[in-house]
Amino acid sequence: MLETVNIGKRYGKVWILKNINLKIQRGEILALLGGNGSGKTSLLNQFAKTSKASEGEIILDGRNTRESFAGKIGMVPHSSFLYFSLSIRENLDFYVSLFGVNKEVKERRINELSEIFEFFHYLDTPLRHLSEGLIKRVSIVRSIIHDPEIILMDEPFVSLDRKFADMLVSIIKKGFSFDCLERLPKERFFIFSTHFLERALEISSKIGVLNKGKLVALDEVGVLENNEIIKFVNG
Amino acid sequence: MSKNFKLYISVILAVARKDLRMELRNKEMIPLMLIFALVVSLIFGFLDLSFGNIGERNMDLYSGVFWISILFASILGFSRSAMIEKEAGGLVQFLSIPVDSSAVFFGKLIPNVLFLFSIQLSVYFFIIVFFRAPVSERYILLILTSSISIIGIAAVGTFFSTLSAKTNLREIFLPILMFPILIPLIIASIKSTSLLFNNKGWEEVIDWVKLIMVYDLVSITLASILFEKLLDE
Amino acid sequence: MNLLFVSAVIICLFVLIFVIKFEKGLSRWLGISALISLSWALYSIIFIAKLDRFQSVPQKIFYIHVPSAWISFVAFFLVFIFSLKYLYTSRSRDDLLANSFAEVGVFFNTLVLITGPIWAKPIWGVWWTWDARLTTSLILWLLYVAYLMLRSYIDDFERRARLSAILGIFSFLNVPIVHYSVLWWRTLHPAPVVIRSGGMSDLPMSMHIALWSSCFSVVVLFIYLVRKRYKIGKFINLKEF
Repeated sequence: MLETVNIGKRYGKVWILKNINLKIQRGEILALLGGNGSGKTSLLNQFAKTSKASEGEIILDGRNTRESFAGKIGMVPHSSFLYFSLSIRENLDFYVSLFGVNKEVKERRINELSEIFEFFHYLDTPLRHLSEGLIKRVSIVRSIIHDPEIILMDEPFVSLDRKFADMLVSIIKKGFSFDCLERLPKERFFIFSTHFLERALEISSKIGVLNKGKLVALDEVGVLENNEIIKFVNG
Repeated sequence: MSKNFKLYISVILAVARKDLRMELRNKEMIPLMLIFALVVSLIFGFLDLSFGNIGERNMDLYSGVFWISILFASILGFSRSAMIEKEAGGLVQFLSIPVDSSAVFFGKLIPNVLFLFSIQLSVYFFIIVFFRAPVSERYILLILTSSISIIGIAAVGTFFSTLSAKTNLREIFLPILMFPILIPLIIASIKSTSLLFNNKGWEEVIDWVKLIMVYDLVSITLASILFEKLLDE
Repeated sequence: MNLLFVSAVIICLFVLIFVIKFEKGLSRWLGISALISLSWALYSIIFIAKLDRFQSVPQKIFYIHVPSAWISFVAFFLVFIFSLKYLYTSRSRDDLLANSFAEVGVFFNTLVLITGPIWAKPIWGVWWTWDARLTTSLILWLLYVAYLMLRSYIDDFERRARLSAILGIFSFLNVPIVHYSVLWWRTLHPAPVVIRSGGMSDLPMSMHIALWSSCFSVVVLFIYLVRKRYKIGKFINLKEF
């Protein structure tokens, strides 16, 4: 189980996250909703361990040290953390080699995933020549290519066109089960943030709504009334 | 234990390879550093000439030219390297890797040492050409000695360029951070290369070289330990 | 000389009145002791300490110069300690203390760099000699300034504290190396009259009195200033957070 206990984060005087308490089980999909500046990205950064909490802690299976999370996280950030002068293959190669993935496995994964996400033919093109949507897909592949337990995505549907957005939805629903990845869907945690309410309802098993850094609603999909969510998401 | 160590080494190599590959592709840093070093050497060449070739009588001048070129070129180079990482948001993502962040430090250190090493060879070349300095086997010793210093400059440069990339002001700030820390290294390096340029014996130089080695050791150890704290956000 | 002393005492008295009126508790006692010990130190420097045979009056600067140099070094060491402590505890108090030590330390260090040339000019004829100890002081000053400048350029509290702590640690561990490199490079400073391998020797008693009184008053002043700076810092933090 992955849980946050009273997470708070502040910059100077401003608390961008406060009193965040939530639990998520393996196999569950949590959607974070909220307007701009509500703290969705900050909370995802807490899960990704790329930001240190000002108070509170995140606990994975009973452990809260950075070491216990190391290597288990894959994240699609809002703006891609990729090197634009390198090709797709070089970017993925580099990232995967940070996690000690075996060479054949790495090749297999790059090939399979680039086929599925339809950028196989661009593998050796430098990123700076590629479109935003394609870069987003590369970013998505990068987040799962080392087969992490915790997958985080910050507004993944932005810059994806209809076709790939639908594809992403079905991939998420199938729990990222690919031939080249060993982990079973029920072993993974998946947390994502989005503006698109319909997508959230479509995919996730749990929804959390953030407003000004506070968690104002958290429940199984279906329990929360749609209009309640809309009220929080818009205001 | 051995598996972790192998992973540690492979991360170092992956980061080093990535940085080298990027520089070879972009060709930004090295030409910039090279031109800068050339200009500095040229200016000192004019000075030397207008003072009636004082370099020939007192070869300490060569030492000064050498280290000024290297130091200022390295400031340029390091600022650039940190900027690249910052643009790719790369620094934070190294926090979730399964090895200690010091691997990233070493991975970035290696290419920086190599870049500075090639720049230093060029500066020696400029000195020989512009100052008509006599060439001899001395230069092997010179290169050896200055290479040891360069490791220290690269260590401090890599570390502090990463630090300054985390503040709002980048290139502007790096000299203020780096130079006071580098002063003992600069003193020892200038001294040792001066002695070698002036054909003094190795016994005189060795003390300074020992100091440089201590400096290198301390900086590298400190930098690798503190690097993780640097990446925290 | 007398005029100098009397005017200094009058200034001290004025400041004493302010201190008694506005300070409370420990600060008041510290402020009062600082002023009293400063006055006594001045008295002993001017009237008790014997005139040095060779250097005459300018030598008296030594009584301000040396304790300031010592305390600025100690202050930097404290910056180091509290930087380490902050990285371990992440408590804003430790960072604030480190900052306070740095600010007061740089003040005394500046004093060293001002009194040094004032001493040097009549003795050696030039304002600056690349003397080992003075050069090391200058480098220390640069390290201090880099630390303080770094702090001024970062707005976010946590980042500022963390990065300056890192710089503080790195800078301090550099100091021994600075010391040796500069020492080997230059050795012009008058052989340390106070601390030699044999221990305190050679100085007549009167000079000892002046030196240690000055030292004591510098330490008290230092503590007073650091506490003041710390309190101001806490107040600012409270307003911002």
